Amino acid sequence: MTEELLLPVIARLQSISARGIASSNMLAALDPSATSYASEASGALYLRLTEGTGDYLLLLRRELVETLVWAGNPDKADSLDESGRLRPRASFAAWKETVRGYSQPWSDLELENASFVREHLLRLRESEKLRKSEEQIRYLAKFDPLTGLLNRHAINVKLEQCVKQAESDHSQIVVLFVDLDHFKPINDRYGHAAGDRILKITAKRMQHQVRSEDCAGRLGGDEFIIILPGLSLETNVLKVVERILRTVEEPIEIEGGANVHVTASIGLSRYPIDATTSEALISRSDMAMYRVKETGGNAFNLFRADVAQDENNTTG
Amino acid sequence: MDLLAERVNPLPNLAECAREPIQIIGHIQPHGLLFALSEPDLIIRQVSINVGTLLKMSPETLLGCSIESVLGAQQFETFRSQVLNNEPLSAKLLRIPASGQLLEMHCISHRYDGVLIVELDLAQGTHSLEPIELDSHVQIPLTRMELATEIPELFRLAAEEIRRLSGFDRVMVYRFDKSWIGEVIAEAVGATLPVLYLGSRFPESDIPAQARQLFLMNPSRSIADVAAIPVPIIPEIGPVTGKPLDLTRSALRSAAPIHLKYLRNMEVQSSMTLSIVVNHHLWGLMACHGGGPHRLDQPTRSVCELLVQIFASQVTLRINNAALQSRLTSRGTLEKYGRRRSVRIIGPSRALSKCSAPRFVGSRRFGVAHRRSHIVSRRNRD
Repeated sequence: MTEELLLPVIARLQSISARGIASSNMLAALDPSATSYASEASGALYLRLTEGTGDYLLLLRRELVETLVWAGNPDKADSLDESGRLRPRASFAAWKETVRGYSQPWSDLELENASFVREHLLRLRESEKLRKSEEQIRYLAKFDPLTGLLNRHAINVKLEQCVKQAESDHSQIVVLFVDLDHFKPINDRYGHAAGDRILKITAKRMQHQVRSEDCAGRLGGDEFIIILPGLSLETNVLKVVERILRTVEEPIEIEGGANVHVTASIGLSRYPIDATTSEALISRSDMAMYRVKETGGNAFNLFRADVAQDENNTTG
Repeated sequence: MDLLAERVNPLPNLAECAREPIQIIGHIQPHGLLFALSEPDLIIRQVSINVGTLLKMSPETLLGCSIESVLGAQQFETFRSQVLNNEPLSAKLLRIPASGQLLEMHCISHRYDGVLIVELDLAQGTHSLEPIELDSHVQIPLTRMELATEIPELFRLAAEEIRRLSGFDRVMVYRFDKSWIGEVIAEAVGATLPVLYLGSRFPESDIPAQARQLFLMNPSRSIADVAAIPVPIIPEIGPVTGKPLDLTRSALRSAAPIHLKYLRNMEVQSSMTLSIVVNHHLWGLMACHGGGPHRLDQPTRSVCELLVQIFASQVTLRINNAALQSRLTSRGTLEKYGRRRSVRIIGPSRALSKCSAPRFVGSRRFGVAHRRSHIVSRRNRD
């Protein structure tokens, strides 16, 4: 039996339901289509869970074939005589009838209990909905909905935590500022959907290249931050950066079949050598990234205090 | 028991005829007299014409006279004070003067539809339990019924006791289902008679809506002799009320011709039907059949009515108890189920496939799902 088969009966039950409940112990009386599955289901109890043609709970009952003994043929219980008067049946001899197409009727108590179950399910659904929307809010507070990376706020918080940790155990941190090259023209040419897809795929690829203790986040637009705690130039950080550049530039197929090549510019700043606060670490990696852009992108660059100083001098 | 709860009436075209008002039948059975009085003057406004044969009085002459001319001065005084004081108009054995002799008659009075109806029921020729001993007639059956552990046993006992008290040949407990189809669930017969109707069903139209309404209002209904010729009440339209007399609560009311024919076809010549009212609802009937003419005097009928009321209260008690019990049980199950934090909602196809194994569903879990039931749930993508 399938739901499609039951749909006509369900529609009828829905239309006759009162306070969200309807029942029948003879489905064929509701809709003739029910005769085709009478032996499997002849009765139904319908509980509406949402308004309109929404969710419902349906309990089905099998056919109960019973042989009844009538005191005389009930179809001839009364008839009209020649003068149009009602005339009782002449014989009260036992008359057997096999009743088909009926299920055991739903008792008042069963209907009452069904109403209880329905209310409980409604409450359950409500609390489920509430729980989901709370989860959604909590998620949005921390993550970027497009890429699933940490959002600007969360990456700042994370970096502050890492700085505190590094202060206490005298470790180092490397912060990468990643900016995609020529992203705006790509967006303009292929559209925002393609742009979003590129951002999503790039984010995923970058996340693949870092360890679980590292953190990737999206500041907005095509700007990303990657925090690599415990790493330094002496360790493998440059290899990681190199891998990120390579993975980003792999072609991305967008809708319509075109392959798009994107490259990234990456600026590095280090704790505690370049800066000791999270804001400064991000702004200095940003500065370093900017240097890469000036030289054409698709490369990385370390923050250098003297260059930054120069810049400050020229701009200030 | 309610197998046919939602069965459709097979004869919808006859429903119209079923609405014929049987309470305005204009006739009574011949074994008594009926007087319709206006108040407070207690003047006879309508009368059954058999005052002529029973009391040797002309019905036309009686119209406009005080009921005193029937009861005699002394009995009238008692009657008048009772009516004036609005005392319950209980049955009384009166001696009614009839051309020089005195007829013993039970007087039953009631008010209905603005009319005081006085019925005099001939004591002679009745089945009587007198002297009425409540101890043996009611106390013993009551104790037996209370001791009956199983409900079918209670039904059987009740039928037996009513047969013993009433002297009818066959007594049946007739239970209605939700669609008013009747089923004989107990049948008591005299030693020489066969059990005929136990387990048989009777269509709704056998006891149509207006008859059920009368049964709900009156504790009993007697037909002394199917062959007796009904006695008209004159005039047909009450001069004070301007309406035909409403015999809803009359004990002597004549039966509808179709019902008399029905009884004849059943080979029944006399009947008494007692209403079994449970929770203000006509639960069923105690149907008593006689092969020959048979009627009970008023006190005996009262005892039968009382016993059936006791029986009805036993049924009420047991039904309500069972309902309470199962309500408590299922509430407990539901509460327990309600405390579970999570419920998995599965799609209809999975639900249907799961349900092919009957143990998956069942009252254990939901209280509402029969063991042989299926569950289908549907979840829309929202």
